[in-house]
Amino acid sequence: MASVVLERRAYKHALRLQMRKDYSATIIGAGKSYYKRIDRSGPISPHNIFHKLKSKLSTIGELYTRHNGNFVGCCAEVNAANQILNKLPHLKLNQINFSNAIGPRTMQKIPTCQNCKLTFN
Amino acid sequence: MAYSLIEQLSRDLDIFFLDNNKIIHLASGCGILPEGLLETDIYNDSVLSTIFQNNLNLEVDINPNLTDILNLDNQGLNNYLVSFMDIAKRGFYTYDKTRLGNNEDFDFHLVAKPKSPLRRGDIFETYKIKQELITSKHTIPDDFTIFNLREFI
Repeated sequence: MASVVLERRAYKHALRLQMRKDYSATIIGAGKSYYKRIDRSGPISPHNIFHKLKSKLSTIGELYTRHNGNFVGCCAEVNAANQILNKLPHLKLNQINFSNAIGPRTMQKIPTCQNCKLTFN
Repeated sequence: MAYSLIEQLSRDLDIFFLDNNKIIHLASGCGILPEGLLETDIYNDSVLSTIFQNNLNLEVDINPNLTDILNLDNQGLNNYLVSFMDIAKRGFYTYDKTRLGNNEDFDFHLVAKPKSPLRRGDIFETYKIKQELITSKHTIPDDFTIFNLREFI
């Protein structure tokens, strides 16, 4: 469950992107206790991805291949969670909290995809 | 080059094209694009940067059905409209993907349009857009209802 602080940070970040007319990617906040990060959708670098996350994603399919309608390793959730894991490597994937995903163009909430449900729930 | 499937599904792209009587902007909403729009990657970014260099400020008609279509409250509607108003006031008919999160859904709706549309030639002249924009053979609906984009491209 996301904290109010995490939701607010993600919302503010999305608003800043909207003001800059940078609409192209979905953003999300991830965090655990005091450590919080915002990141965006797009293919994660295969060299920087945390082992635990890569292993879990590989149970769905290879990185950058399409499963359940979306590409594995390209969601904002994956990018944001990877930043958290690099700082807090002992965290389990289902212990990472997420804000709502937001599209900066319209500030609408974006539903969580099936791959992210399988990875982080 | 054409947009890759990864680009289509991980980015809310700005797509520009023409039909027989208007110049159209479409927000892809991280959905799959109809095949006929994949090659717009050649010019979309340059059109987008060109139009924001111009301060045209036309009066705009906003889709009166948006709160029903998108289930938004007043604040949500204001936030939603910011980017589309920015485009429509510069002379473009601007459309959005209706259902986010379902990337194989091709339903779109008109968000806003200029009250008195510019002639196509005037837009080309104003924005120095070359006439090589992809053109749909069909007229894209402008009646503020939801339509399946794939049937018109």
